[in-house]
Amino acid sequence: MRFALIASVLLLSTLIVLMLIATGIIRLVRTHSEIRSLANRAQLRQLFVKFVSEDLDPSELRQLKTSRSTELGELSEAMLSKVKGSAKDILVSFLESRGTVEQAIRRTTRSGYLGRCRAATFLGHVGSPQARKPLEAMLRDRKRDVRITAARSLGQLGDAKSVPSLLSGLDNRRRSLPFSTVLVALMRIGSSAQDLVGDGLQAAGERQREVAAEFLGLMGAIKFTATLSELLANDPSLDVRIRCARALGRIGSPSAIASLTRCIESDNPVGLRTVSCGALAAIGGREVAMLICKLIGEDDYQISLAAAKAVSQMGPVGIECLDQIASSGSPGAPYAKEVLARAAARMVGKARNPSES
Amino acid sequence: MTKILIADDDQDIVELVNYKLTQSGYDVTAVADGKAALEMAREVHPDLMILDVMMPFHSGIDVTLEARKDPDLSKVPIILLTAKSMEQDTERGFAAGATDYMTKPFSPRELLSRVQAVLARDA
Repeated sequence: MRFALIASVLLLSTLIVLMLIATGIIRLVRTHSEIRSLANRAQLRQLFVKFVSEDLDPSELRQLKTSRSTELGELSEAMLSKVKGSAKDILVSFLESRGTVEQAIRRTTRSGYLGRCRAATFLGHVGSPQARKPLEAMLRDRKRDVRITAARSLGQLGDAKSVPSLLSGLDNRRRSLPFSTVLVALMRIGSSAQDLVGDGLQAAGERQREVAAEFLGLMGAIKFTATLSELLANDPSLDVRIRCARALGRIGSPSAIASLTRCIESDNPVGLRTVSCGALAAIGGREVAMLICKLIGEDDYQISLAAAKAVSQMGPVGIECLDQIASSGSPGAPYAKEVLARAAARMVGKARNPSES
Repeated sequence: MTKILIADDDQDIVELVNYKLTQSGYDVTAVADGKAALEMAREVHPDLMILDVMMPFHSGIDVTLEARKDPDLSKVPIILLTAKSMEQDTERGFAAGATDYMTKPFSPRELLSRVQAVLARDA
């Protein structure tokens, strides 16, 4: 009995010691392989830096092109997001020669969603035209993160042909895209997207019309002034009308003054009236300033304050109007005084600390 | 030899900029954070600094502000290199006293041209 007990204790101790030794060995091997990987990466980085600077001699170039190490793949993908110009062109052609782009396109339909995200990010950085269709298909992916990553990558690709897919992704009920993601992607595509986004102003989906109005305003797309003014007057959605008002202010065409003026009248919702005040102020002019000044002192404090703020941003013309109201003793005087005081405080702050501006 | 100080916590970028500038005949010193950048600048008195905006300890903008207060570094041209591309970030950089501003991803060739232009303007 005692012998069996001693034997089992010895066996247990031996097992524990063996396990400790095994853990130590595994750790040692892992550390060694990490060090080797870091050293490999450092060595490859030096080669890579020379490669993108077009300074490799033929033997080094052969060494790089024939290397199949995972560090090289990781390094080239990491570098891709950091450089542009000729350095990026060199990287892209290198990756294409290794078949990395085709591999990434294949990975866009794989089961692991992190892998799909990585593939979408990579394709966006490469900017290869053949990536557009797989990325558009990813806008309907069951995972939200994948859809967002694909939209961003389509923005990086900069092909205006992807505009309809991005816009329709907004109104997909079960697999929709966030408003801001689509807007940023469209902004990255830039002015070449204007006409196709302009078509979105007539879309049945409310969010498509909203994003289209916002985009056209940010782009200063003056040729859409009439269409935006039309939507501002007649769209059934208040959100769309507000976006149109803001867009017209950003575009700054005086031809929008009439439709914006109708929106500051008292029978309109407060949100639309305040945004329209700001839009009119952005267009500018003495007549516009006088028009907005009439709202300062209205019973609704939101309108009075918004009007006063809008006028204060109109430069000397606005300040002159506000000075007159402030000294008049009218119901608008307190609002005018408050906004003038804030403007003065802002100017003092700017003069004291220019980096905070 | 013209001395250039680079401060960036991204090793890939440091190596790339370092190589490009060294090949063009500049004497390059590299550090990985804002605090080290200030210490190194006070030690080596560079002719130009290239600073990343988002760095550990002190941002590139903080380093620029500190450098502008330091009599030894106040005239040293500074190029900010950053992932931030918004207009306001550019304004903040210039308001802090930066000489030039480049956004990432960047072109190494363009960076070299800007370095040459800034140094020629300063000479």
